[in-house]
Amino acid sequence: MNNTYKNTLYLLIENKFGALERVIGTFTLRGFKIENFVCFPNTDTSLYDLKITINCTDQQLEKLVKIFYNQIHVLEIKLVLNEDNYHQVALAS
Amino acid sequence: MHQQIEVEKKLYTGAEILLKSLEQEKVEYVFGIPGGVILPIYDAFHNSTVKHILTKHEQAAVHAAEGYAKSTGKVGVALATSGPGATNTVTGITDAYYDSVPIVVFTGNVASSALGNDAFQESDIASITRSCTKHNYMVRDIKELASTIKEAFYIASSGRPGPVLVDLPKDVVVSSYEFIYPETTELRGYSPNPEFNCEVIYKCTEEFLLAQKPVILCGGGIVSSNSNHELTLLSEKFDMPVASTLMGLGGFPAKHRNFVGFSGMHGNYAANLAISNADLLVVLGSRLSDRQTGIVKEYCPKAKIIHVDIDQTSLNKNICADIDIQCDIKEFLKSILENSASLNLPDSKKEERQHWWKRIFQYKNEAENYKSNDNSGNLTSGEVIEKVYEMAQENAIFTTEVGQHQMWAAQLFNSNCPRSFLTSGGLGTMGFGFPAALGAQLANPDRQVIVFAGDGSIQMNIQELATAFTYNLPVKIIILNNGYLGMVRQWQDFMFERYSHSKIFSPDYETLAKAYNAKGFVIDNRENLESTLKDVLSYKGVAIADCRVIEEENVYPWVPVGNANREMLTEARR
Repeated sequence: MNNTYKNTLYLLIENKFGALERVIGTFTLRGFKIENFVCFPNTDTSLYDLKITINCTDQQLEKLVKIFYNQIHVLEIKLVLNEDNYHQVALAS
Repeated sequence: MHQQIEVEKKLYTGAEILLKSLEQEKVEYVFGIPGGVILPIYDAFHNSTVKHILTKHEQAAVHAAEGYAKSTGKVGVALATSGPGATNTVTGITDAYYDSVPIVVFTGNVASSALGNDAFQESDIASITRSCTKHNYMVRDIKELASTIKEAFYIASSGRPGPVLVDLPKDVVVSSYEFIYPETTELRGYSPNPEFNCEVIYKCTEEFLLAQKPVILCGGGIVSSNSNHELTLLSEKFDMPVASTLMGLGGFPAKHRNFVGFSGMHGNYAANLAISNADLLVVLGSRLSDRQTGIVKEYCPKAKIIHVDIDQTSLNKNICADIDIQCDIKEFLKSILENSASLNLPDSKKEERQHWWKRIFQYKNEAENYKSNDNSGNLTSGEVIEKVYEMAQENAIFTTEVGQHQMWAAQLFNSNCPRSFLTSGGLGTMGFGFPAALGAQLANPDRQVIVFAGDGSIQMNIQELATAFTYNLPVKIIILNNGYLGMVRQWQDFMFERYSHSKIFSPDYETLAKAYNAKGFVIDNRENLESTLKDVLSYKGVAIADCRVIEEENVYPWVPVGNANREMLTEARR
């Protein structure tokens, strides 16, 4: 339960003022070290995709997903649990 | 798409659009202080129906907006200038964030062209408040001003309420555009009203019927969703005792026979023991913070937990629930009541419940032994607070500052009136209570508003006596003056067995009151308590009662950090 794994989150977010800072702030506030962070444009230019890899426990990951769900500019959350083990897709909108 | 009402095709400045938008939102009062970049907004007040309340500090403006919002359920509004004006709002905003208070704070900023250039009175308030607002904006284009304000009010008041900040660069305030206020707003990534499955209603009803020792925990969500009535019906229907969190006080009538009290670190003895021994805990609208639960693994260890909250981040955060439901509590309670309309507790259950009630009454009786029993003849804080509750009007609003007096006020709270206990729970902001009382008094001119304060916390925003006088807000301030930062002293005594910088000086409050055109009273013994309180509470203007209480009195029960709630200290251990 308390083991940490390398987990990757894919977020689809609106290209709006402060959206990116709110996402990053979610990790810094909780003391997470971001392993990898990639931001790339979506085909819809009002949106962009984020790929974020962090080390965390399952419980921490569940909390993070809920927090992102609450963020107004986050439209969609996809999770890749334990590196390549595609596990769950959560839709935020 | 936004459905829009076209008001007029005339051009308005950003300042005018702001005030016209506030009128559309039916805002009565804006609490704030003027300053350089927002002078055009202040000039626009001349032509607006929105009234401005000039406070003496921006922190107090935000707390006053909170007091207005908490006492009415409507959105409170504060306004501050750029730089120090904006940064002074941060404590109030964070307070509203932790206590889920719907407020919108407008701050000015330097012109867009000067942003990031260290201009005079510039502050990056949007970044500063990003982690303590539900959402925030910087308006970069006047065309988006009205729709942003609409969104801000919608976000602040929907779902789990919270503070929203709107930062307005000076060029947006002074440029012109037509005023079109959207009738509705739609946000792609925001769905504040989650629906719940009917199955959970059946499941919960079954649990209510099966439980032998149930307890309902009433959280702040009951107050903010105005579910007092539904909760009372539920408690009576299933004959379940109700405990309350600090924020939940007022959510259930405190004089009701099913009320067992306030629970948590300094909670009532009976409430903490009832929760610790329950076999079913129904948590309604509480995030179960560390001050509520004590050590997590020992929190109601034998109970099944049903946790209902509109915010999914509050579910399974600190305590794992057996049934967690994300929904509007009012809708949940209505469904339960509807579904169980024809159901009644079976006789066998009624008998079991009688045993449970017997135990709860036993806890309540035991608690009587732990009341402060000072023999020195000096006044205790508890007896002052108890007397104020007894003598106050039936529908009085009580606000508190933060510290020992706050915990006593919560333990002894006995009003049946909803939205009548306004306190700073999550952030624990000393300096909250007095300005919040001003906001509450403005919103409720016919109700008595009473502030419980310590001599430490009243001095954090005491300058607002000027605001109280200016707007003729006759709040009554009861200062429990013990000459210490009382809660700090209590912890220092417990942890280090000596004090450090917790002894404080107070001005002569009677003279201070006079300086602010208020009336000061001194209560220094039991004999003049009732007669002087009568004068204080019946005084027409602002009144301050300086109650000289025992200096070194501790708040009990007390669950020291790391203990389970059932392991309460009920007296000093040395």
